[in-house]
Amino acid sequence: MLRRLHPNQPTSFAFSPENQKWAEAQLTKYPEGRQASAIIPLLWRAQEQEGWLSRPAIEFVADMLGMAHIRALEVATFYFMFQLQPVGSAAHIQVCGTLSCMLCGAEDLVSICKEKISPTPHTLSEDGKLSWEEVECLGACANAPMAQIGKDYYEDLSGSRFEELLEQFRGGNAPVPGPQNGRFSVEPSAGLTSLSDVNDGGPTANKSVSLAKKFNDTVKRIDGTDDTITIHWGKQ
Amino acid sequence: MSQKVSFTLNGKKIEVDKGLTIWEIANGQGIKIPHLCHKPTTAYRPDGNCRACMVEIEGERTLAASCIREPSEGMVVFTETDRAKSSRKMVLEMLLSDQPEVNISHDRSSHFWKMAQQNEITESRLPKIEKERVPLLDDSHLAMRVNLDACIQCGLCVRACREVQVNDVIGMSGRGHDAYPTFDLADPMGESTCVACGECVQACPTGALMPATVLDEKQTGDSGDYDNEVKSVCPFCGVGCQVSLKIKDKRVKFVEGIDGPANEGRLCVKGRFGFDYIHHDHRLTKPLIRRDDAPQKGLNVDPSNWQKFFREASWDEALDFAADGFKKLKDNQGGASVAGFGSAKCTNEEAYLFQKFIRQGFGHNNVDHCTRLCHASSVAALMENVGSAAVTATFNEIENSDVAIVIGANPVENHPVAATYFKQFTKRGGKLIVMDPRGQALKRHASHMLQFRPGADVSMLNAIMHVIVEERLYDQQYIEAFTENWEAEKNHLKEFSPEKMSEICGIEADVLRDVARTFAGAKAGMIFWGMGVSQHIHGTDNSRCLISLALMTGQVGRPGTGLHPLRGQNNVQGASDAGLIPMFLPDYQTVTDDGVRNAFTEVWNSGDFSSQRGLTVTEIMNAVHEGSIQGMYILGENPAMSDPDVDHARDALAKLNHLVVQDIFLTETANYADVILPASAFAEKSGTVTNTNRQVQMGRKAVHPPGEAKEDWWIEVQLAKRMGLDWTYSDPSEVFAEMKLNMRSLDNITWERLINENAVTYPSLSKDDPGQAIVFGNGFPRQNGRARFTPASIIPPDDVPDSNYPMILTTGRQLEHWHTGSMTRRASVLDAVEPEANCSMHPKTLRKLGVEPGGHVRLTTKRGSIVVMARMDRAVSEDMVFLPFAYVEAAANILTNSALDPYGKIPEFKFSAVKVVKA
Repeated sequence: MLRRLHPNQPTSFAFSPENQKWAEAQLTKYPEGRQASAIIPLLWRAQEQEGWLSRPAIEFVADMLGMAHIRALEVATFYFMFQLQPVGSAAHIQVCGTLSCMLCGAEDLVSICKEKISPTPHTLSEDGKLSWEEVECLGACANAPMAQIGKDYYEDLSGSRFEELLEQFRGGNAPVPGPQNGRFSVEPSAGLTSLSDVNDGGPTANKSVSLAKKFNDTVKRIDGTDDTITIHWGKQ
Repeated sequence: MSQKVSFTLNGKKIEVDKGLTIWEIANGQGIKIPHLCHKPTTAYRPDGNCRACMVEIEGERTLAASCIREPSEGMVVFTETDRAKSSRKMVLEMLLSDQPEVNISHDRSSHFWKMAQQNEITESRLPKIEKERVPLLDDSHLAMRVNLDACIQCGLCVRACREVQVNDVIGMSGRGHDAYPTFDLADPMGESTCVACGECVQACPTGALMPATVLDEKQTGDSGDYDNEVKSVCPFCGVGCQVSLKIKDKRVKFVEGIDGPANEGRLCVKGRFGFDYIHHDHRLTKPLIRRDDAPQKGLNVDPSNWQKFFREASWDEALDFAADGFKKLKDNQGGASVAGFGSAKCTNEEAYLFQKFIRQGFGHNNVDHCTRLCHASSVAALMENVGSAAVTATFNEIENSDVAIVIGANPVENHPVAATYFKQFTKRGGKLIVMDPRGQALKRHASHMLQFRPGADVSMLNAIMHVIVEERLYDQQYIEAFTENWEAEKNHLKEFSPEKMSEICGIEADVLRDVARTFAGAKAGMIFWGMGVSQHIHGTDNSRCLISLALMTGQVGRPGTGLHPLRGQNNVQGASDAGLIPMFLPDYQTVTDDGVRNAFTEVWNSGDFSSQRGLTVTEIMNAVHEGSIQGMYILGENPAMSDPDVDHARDALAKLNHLVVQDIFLTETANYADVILPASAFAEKSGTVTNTNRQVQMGRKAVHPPGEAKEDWWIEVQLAKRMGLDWTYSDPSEVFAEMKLNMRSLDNITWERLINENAVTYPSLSKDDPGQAIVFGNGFPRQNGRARFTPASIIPPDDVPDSNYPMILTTGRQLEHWHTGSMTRRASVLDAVEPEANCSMHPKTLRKLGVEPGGHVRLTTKRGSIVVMARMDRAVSEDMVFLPFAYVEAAANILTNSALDPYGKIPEFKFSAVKVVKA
């Protein structure tokens, strides 16, 4: 697919004070003169801050690392993880479209996206709250079909459940991630056939779902406020 | 001896040098393996991405790309197996599917079509890429067109921009089939930071990147559509790039770089796209004589509407008129009443004839040229301490250095092709120490950037040398073997501790110490300098410091070491060598020596001229004001623009009784002429030129001069004959032969050799020695073979800022414009890119003045005042103004100071006190 800069660009970009501090810390990981090594983490952080990578953001990061602008653009346009256009203010839906998910109904999910969000991927819904794209395998084949929304996986999706999820995101909520059909994780859909008492009295949700609940950060962006920055490398 | 490898190629056992690729070896054997992404020249590394050059290697599962594969011992390679051939064909067929049809393609003679034809691929069975996926035409640049429908993603343009020219503007953005060459942040080419060197255009194998002059409105064209090709030399800077001029219908259609020793195929914007000044309407096509009823002499002639001032004349009438005027002055006032300015833009032969004309014809040495305004002080210091005024090593030697100093030079703009070698040097780990009051473009590549106070060169350099002495970092063995006056220098330097000097030069003591250690610790170090060093009243002292620095660290005479003043004009080295200097005859032989003069008068078959050193450019202008000089012959120089305190110079020109100007345009100087002789541009004549590297190169006539314009040497000969001199030259080769008689530097360099080899570096030690890139490995051309340390003391600039003139004005050039602009401002691409007179100031300074970038300011010095557009540039210090001198409408030299360096007699262009107000 074409990966080009969006026609409408903001006029400027700057890291938030927390992110700036974090980014400066990243630079110290690399020997003098090799700061360009930090290009991917910094671009990623810029995207986390704004939701997508704007031209001023790429410029800002390139200048911060002393790189020619084109070198940063090459990286930004190469990796699909970098969003070169605005994404939904509430959530960006990444539907897995690779083999297992495709066999289990990913096409239905894509149709729902087309109908409920926008007919084309990488396009904002009319209310600006959602956007979507089809991505390559996310490695959750046992829970197909699935989508990544924000930081988390929403698995074992049915069309109707997926529509409900979209509405919840639209309403500003962050539904509980993980399997949406009652499964704990990747056990057989008809229930455990062996070691059936292993989880008796244990957690009600798997580890990643538990963490998502605990931090409530499914679609929250990393902004440097959630964790203290520690620099545990190099000269102290 | 290089190592050898033996392997079997198509059944034949061969032994080759290690390091060659299979493609290169096969090519040498006459085997044609197709290639697209590989450009077989020295400057480009093979990349192996296009897979059009696949060959079969016995025992290997897959085919190998021959352009990057080196044979190993015993390898068995087949280039013509069915498998290899059909694989290569398939690659071409796949690429062909996306190409526009050949008859409507952007370049019908592109390398791609040649390869397709060679492999008998005319059509493709594969579907074409969807139209909407291909970026549209980018015609935002005046000189180049980007049509990516022909792009095959070979990456040659990226290598051209990134690795060869080291500009890093082009890259491949996107991925897969949608990866395309992109400028900066996907900007249109014309709006990007592209410096228009055109390297990518020359590298592109498909016509996706093309010179605009080759394409029509439908974007179709043919790079093979020219009548003939002439190999010559670029007419702009001292780098001396070799060019190939493609001629169609008696005009230059486009220009490509060829593999000269200095440029290896590279060019810059001026050399590649600045050629069309020779076809400008303003070209002089007939001799002109000032009308009797012309208005008073002044800077008042419009070059496109001169009829009120001049009338056309025949060559006979104009030459008679010119010569009669000189004869009258000579007869009535004596020979000393006529002086001459030759040109560093003409050939060696023309320079030689010019100085001979003045010396033989008028019996004195009042002949000079613009070297006086650029490197005279460097020449003075080099002659004094090294015994030779030329560079000790070519700039290309930087490839063998590990540390280099660039001081007072801005090669990225003024010697762009030399700068590519400097930038490559830093890419492979070389430490570049840049010293400049202006934070210029090389800063990005520098390990040390010393942005010192203007005019404080000596204090900074002495402090660095102080550290070298103090920490015993000098090369005692070298000093003892090859130098003299060391003890005096050592004692002198005691006074210059970095702590003390840092107050004067503004560079911290620690930095000065670090630079001293870095340079002294280098295995091989080079020093480059430019006008920022020479154009000061202490210019000679600046150069003396640099020479001392190189000598004490033993950085002369070995690979990767040397002193290199970067020459400005295409032939300033040659014109100086040929004796266009008031104190020297050809080869810097002093005019005060009777034996030397004898040797020349013997060849010239005439009596002695004068044992008195002649007057320099600025002194001649003063003599005109005093009335002792009343006539001048000015060939290709433009003192009405280039002299310091140019109002003074213009008044002098107006005062002359008889001024003969020989030029290609009606220059500012020609405004004051009594007779104007229309000359030929460099591409219109034959002759040799010598570049900054001491490389004597052959310039060839590519097109005829317009109208009745003539080659400069012909005009000189005609004038000489009319002055009663016995000149019989009918070709520049005869002049060259005469020059050789008294110029040892041209030993072993003959006209025939230059015709065959295009370039020979002097000194050349034998008939087939391409010349010595490095000299003085075994001593110097001075007494006892020793170079000399000359201590230099601090002299402040002449015109220092005060409360009335609080800021510092410095002058220089811009990438797109050349010298006084008479050529480049008539080159359509160059003038369109940089059309308006401008100056640069720091954003803070502009804010203080209340001027928006693009607004106008008035600059006033003790000598004059101009209004000019102001540009924002962080590289300029807050108390400085940088002003390019190419613009007649805001001539920088109205402002500059004519105070002279006492040794080199060079004016202080680089430092004037100035007042800046909003205009």
